[in-house]
Amino acid sequence: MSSEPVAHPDVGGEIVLRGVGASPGIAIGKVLVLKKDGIVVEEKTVDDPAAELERLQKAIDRSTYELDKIYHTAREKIGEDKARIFEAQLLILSDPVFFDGVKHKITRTKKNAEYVVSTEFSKQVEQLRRSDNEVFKQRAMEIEDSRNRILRNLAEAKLRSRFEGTPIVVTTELTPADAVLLSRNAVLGYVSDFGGARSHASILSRSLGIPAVVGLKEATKHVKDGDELILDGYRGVIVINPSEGTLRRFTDRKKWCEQLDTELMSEAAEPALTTDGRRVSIEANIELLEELPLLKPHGADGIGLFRTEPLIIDSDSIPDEMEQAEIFRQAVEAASPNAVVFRTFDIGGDKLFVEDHAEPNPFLGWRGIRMMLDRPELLKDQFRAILRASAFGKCKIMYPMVATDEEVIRANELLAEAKKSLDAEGVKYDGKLEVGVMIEIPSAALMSKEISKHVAFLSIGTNDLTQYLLAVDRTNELVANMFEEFHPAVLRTIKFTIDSGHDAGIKVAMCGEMAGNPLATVMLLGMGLDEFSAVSSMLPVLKKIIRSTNYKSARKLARQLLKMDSADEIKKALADHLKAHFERIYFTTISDTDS
Amino acid sequence: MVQQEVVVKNRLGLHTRPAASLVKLAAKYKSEFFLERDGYRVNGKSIIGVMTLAAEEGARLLLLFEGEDEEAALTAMVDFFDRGFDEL
Repeated sequence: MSSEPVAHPDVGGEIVLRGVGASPGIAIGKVLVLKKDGIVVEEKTVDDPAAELERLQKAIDRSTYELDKIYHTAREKIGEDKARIFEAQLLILSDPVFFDGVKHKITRTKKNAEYVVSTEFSKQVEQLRRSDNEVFKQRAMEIEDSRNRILRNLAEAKLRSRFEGTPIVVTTELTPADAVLLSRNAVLGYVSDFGGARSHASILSRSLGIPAVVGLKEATKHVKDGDELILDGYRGVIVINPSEGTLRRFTDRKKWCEQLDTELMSEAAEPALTTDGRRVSIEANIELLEELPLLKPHGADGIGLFRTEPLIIDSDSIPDEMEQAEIFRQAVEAASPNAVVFRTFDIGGDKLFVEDHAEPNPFLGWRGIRMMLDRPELLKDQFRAILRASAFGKCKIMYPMVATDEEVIRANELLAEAKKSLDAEGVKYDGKLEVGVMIEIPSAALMSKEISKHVAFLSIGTNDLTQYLLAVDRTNELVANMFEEFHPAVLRTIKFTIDSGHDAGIKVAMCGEMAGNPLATVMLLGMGLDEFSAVSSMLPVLKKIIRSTNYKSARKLARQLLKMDSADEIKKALADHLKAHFERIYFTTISDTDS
Repeated sequence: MVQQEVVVKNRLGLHTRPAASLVKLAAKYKSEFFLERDGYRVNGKSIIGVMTLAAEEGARLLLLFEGEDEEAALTAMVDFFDRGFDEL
């Protein structure tokens, strides 16, 4: 698929732009251009300066609350000395001299809070930038940070009321927070200039079931509020001001896709049972509590991957044990009677301890279980939170980025300590809670037999496994086209891992992207995979394929595929199979050709 | 009103952390407090203001206090500068 925008201004004013399909679905509606905070601050005159002062105070309070949380967490985890930088930012927010000036100016000039905050801060920043001293020039950033935090909080309060109709939101770059926040309105779809299919916001759009096309480069240049727009999230195409004919064609296609969707959704609650009686489990990957209502309608057999690191990324701080326990409890109750697999923080050390570490090669560095084992207090807090949640329903714990069995043994020891500490406090939890390991580092795959002795399940993470096996950083544009999940080396490693787990008598799951790719479903089933965990929106499709497949013939197909020596050959065989047996699924989710 | 010239002694200058401490110290006194550098004057109870002084090591600043406890405030502040903001 080409990522170059191709404009056809000659076709009756209709403009076709090609990007990346980030979330499936077709949307037809009116454009709403979302201007990004902090970039454009409009100067407005307000009727009621008192209301403006109130908005400002709320934004300052909210900013203070955010920073206060960061400061306290930082003080606990990285020490008083390093945390003082955040204390300084708190002092900025409570600077009486500066904000009295801002407030007087709002009252006197009757300008909106955003404008006055922005201009007053800018004056201070300019003053600092005049310094010859590099250190002080950088201090300007701290003041800018404070300004942006207030502006963001001013905007957030406003955002919700702004969305009246059912628009398609077009923006330069969609942040994860945007994707979630805007979904609380009746948004038909997302379109953005930047971003890729694997960006956080795209993953969120998929799980929220909102069609999205990203990476269009200059979509915002071609649209204005109120323009008619077609968004095809299956194929990564948008059409601005479509002609009558185009509109008719897409309206038909939309109907056709929605029929399939309705059909699949109506069968979603059925068990994932092959025609010859093999039962597998189809579970959901969850990042946010907003996704929990999707579990039941999409027929999820539980949560196969609950990512915990978004809790840190979204709040800029590490939530404490009780805060985590409360979030986990909600997930457990939504999934009940099925289980939730909580993956411990899978985050680079650079994201948590900014001042300590700038790693030249973070993918090969201090992340996942490695970092958590170096900060046992953090890990034990998280264990205690998960254990507390296990009193409300079935929980499992999973360790990410494991390279050796020693790490598993050490983490299990810390878990035992966490249990003991809860026992001492008389806190109830599930004593039989299962522990598993992500298999995403080649050494762990090769040692999966040994690792299986210490755990109750394995879960294959295909994204990192592919990246490490092929030594390809998929975010590096120079080599990204070499990233290939269907590479024979990847598939053989997956098969080896599944067999290792089964030899040890434990179940093997997959929670990487491949688990949600309809192209791979029959192959993975045939390799003997027990549990598929993917974004909620794909679960009905996976179930449909599995329920219509014979396990014996799937095994035969898998054996043939494992003998092939090129990814292209494998993908062609899989595409042919899907097209022959599941034509409609093939055309809605895979095909890039015109219908 | 009392005033006195002081010199920034620590290597990193009056950066964020000492600026935070300085503002906190100033808040303990009722007197109004200004700092002046080459004719540029800021309110000493405003951390944003103090930061904009961009006072590096060796910078000369004029401290001005006015109020009922101006003498005590000046003494405490001069001492804070003499200690190099406790970063020597």
